Amino acid sequence: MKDNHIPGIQKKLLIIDDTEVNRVLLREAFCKSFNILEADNGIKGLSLFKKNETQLAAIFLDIIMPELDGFGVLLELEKHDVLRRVPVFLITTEASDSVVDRAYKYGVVDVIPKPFNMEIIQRRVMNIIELYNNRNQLETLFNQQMHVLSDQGFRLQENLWSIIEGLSATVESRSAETGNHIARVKNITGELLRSLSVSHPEYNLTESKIELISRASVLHDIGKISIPDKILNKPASEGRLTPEEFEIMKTHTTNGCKLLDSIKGIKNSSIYSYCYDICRSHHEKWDGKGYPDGLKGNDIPISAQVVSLADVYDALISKRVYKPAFSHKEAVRMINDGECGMFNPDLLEGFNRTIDNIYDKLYRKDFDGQTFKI
Amino acid sequence: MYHISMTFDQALIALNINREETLRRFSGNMELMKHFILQFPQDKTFDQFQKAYKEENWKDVENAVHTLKGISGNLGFTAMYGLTTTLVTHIRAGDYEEAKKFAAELTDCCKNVIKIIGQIS
Repeated sequence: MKDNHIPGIQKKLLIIDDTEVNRVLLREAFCKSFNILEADNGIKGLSLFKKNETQLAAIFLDIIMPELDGFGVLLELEKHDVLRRVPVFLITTEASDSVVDRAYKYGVVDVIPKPFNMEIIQRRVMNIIELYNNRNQLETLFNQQMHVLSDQGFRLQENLWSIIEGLSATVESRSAETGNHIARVKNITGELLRSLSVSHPEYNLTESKIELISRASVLHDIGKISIPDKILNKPASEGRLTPEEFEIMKTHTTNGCKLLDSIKGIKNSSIYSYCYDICRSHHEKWDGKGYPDGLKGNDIPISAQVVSLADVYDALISKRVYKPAFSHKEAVRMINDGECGMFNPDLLEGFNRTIDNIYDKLYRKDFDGQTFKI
Repeated sequence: MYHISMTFDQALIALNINREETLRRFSGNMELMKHFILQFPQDKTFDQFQKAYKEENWKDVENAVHTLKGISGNLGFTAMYGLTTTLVTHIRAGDYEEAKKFAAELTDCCKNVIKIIGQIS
């Protein structure tokens, strides 16, 4: 919709008719209220229309004209989406049903038969012009409101997101991971995605996707909220998780998805599918030996693949209840040797390129339990 | 032959024009109404009609008669309006025999109107 069609100030009428007396009669009836523009054929009529479009209150149109007839003019007007905003009155000697029918199909608002009954015509035309004015004003108001609402909607989304981030921080604190594991995973995810987008454009990783996936990574372990403490925080002294305990631990992936799905309105959000994929598949492995679905290769969503690698690296290099911290060099070796499961070779390529920088940035200076800003 | 001269109002009666109705159509502007009635003899539509009829170009005849219908309707030429309406119907139906009869009548009617208007002083 054109914003420059300001309702209420249309002060011109356009009369397109090749017969002079017809134009004169209409002019005489309306010249006190409007400026009258006249054309004696369709082509001239369209030209006048284009020059005066935003100031037209109505158009009178004859059918039979040389150069371009009334229906031809209507087709052109339709293309410019004019007929919704400017009423077109067909003036015709031919008030037969078929013509009238066709005229309405082409979008005219009313058919004015000849010979004219001027008083009736004046009233019909003025009524319709007023209706169109009201409708155009309403439409303008509506569009203004929509702008306001969508601004508010954006702020609501931001609020929702803050709540989600707060929730994931709570989950994290429960599992007693050192420092800001979630913040680091988010950071590493972003770096790995950027590296991949450069070396392998076929993954279609735009900057906005990278932003969304990094944000979504924050929720990768949200399902851990459903895992009992004694499993989640089982100390190394008690040995590894038993097969039964491990089965329960594995459910944090699918439970995380259930939790996500329970958040009202989240499915309307553009980030939802990334959150879901990451939550569900961040323990899948390139060779299909991961869980919960045993996905293989690039069947694993790339978002989940990247978060998985980031998660593994951070886990290796951090002290956990069930393991000591490994050195940066050792962590990188273990990952490349497949000791923590198989990863996408494309991804590993990027990882190896950037992980030294990542280590310097995130771990060397401020590590040992210090907090990083998300 | 006498040169008959008549007033405009007398011509309106002779032409069987409904004065009040036609004046209303002109939004009460008598000057304008006079102007267009007086101008009718110069209107090219009747010539177009005659030319097309002579060539038996029924499509052009139809268009010209259609336009005449509009003009006669707006100017209040009752007889002409009736004839043009009927003629158009016959042409569209393809009744060219009937059409020819009415075309002849229309020609006479137009000539008569032009003659009367010519007599306005």
